[in-house]
Amino acid sequence: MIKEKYYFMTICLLLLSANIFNIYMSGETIPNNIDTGYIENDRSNPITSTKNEFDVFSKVEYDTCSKVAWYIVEILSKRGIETSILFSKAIVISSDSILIVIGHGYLKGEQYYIGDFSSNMITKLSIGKKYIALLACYSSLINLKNEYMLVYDSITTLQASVNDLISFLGFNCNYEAIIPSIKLFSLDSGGSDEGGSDGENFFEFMIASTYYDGVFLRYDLNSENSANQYGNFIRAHPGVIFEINCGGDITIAEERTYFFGLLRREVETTEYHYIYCKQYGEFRKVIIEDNGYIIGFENHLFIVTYNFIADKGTVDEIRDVNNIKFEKDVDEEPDTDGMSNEEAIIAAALIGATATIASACIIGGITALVAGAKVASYVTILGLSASTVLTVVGIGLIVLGVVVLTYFFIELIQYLSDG
Amino acid sequence: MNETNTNFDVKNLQIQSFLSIIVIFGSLLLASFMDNILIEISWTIKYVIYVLILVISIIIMVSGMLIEAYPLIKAIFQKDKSRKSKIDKKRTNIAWSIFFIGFILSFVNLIFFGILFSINVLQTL
Repeated sequence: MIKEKYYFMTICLLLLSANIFNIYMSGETIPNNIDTGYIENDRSNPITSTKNEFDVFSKVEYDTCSKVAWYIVEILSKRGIETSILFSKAIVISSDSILIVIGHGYLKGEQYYIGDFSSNMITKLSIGKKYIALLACYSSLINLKNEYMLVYDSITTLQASVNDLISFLGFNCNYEAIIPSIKLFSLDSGGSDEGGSDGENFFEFMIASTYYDGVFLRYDLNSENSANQYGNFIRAHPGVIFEINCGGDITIAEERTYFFGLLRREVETTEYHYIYCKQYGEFRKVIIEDNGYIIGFENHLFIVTYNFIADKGTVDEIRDVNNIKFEKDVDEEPDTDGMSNEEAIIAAALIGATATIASACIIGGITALVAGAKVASYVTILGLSASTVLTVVGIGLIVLGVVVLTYFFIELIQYLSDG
Repeated sequence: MNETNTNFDVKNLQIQSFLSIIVIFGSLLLASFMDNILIEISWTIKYVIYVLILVISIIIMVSGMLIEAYPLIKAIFQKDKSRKSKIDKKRTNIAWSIFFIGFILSFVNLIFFGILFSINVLQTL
């Protein structure tokens, strides 16, 4: 009887450990932004708004996006809330308690997206946040359960949604001051699998115009001006951390690299000291030449302004707090370059699911084997000896578990090496 | 005819308990993992099917265990102080057969749901 108790305890511990590992692993994909803010204002209950559609065909412009983003950041920073901004096909502003996503909401297949952020990714980002504001059309499609949420069950506009956001956050701001400078556009601008979207190419519109040459969608390289604009914007807002993402369509890789090169030049020639390539949640190695210029880019930039460092401490302190790794500090990291955040989540999910199924089979098989050895000799199952049946089932489950685990790990290794 | 003079064997019941606890724990583990990774509306139906099959299989397993434990339960209700009963081989074999069907159903459910999840994930790659 004592043996059984130990056996039972061991299995429970194994299962508990596996569960904790699962939770830890899925949490690993959440970006580690610098979040130290807090909110003291009274808040209203979750709001669900319905707005009328208008100006569907207007274009998203860089000036508009940057003004809105900075306006929100300014409001938050005045209240002691430090935020990080992610420029992507959507704008993501986050602190430890707030997540604001601004962009074009649309359905791609069965999954809802805001910009290039899938509902899964937004769900992951929303974990632990008290206030969620998804300024996008039909954002109520994302099934979140946070305490306070601003979502839309219909179409909305940028201006209307920003207005809602201010009410939602409980701030008494001079919103009128910014209204004239915001060009109205619909966040639901027709982007879907059918194409013809400006919202779908949110980021591209900030850096370049596009045209179709009969074969491929081409991008005009007017990035110089865009990079200059971006550089100006960054310079104008010291103390804010900018994370710029241009993931997705690999066909624009050359243009992307070109743009990043221009932007790098912009920031390198000013007071900005450090630029980091970054995948979501994981800092990648930074390639810095001896002369101080960054020569390699992936599809992320992470820019820490000079003023931020001056205000917050030394470079080493900043690095320690944020787990930033310089190239010399990166020791034999697994080479997962090229994996997007979503791919990383999927890979983690596959590993986790496979390991779970396999471990369940193996544990169940061992249990069946033990049960087969201990069951009374006179017991039969469907006319067969219970001992024999349980032994066979036990061995079968163990073999199945081992085979599944091996197969998926081989597939995963191949996938990672190919990626 | 089938009863012997041997006292009721509690060990069989313990083994059944172990088996059912393992499969339930495994299923809950998988469910909690899915909840961490996928929170999608379209998965609600799949969860419902999964949980429904799991509940059915648990009911089957518990039924088997109740049949197995029948002599013990009977002894308790009859206020038999010795709480001893006799083994009924026929009933035990039926109980184990029913229990085993529930056990296998649970595992098939567990594996099927895992494969379904993997396919869904792979399709998004």
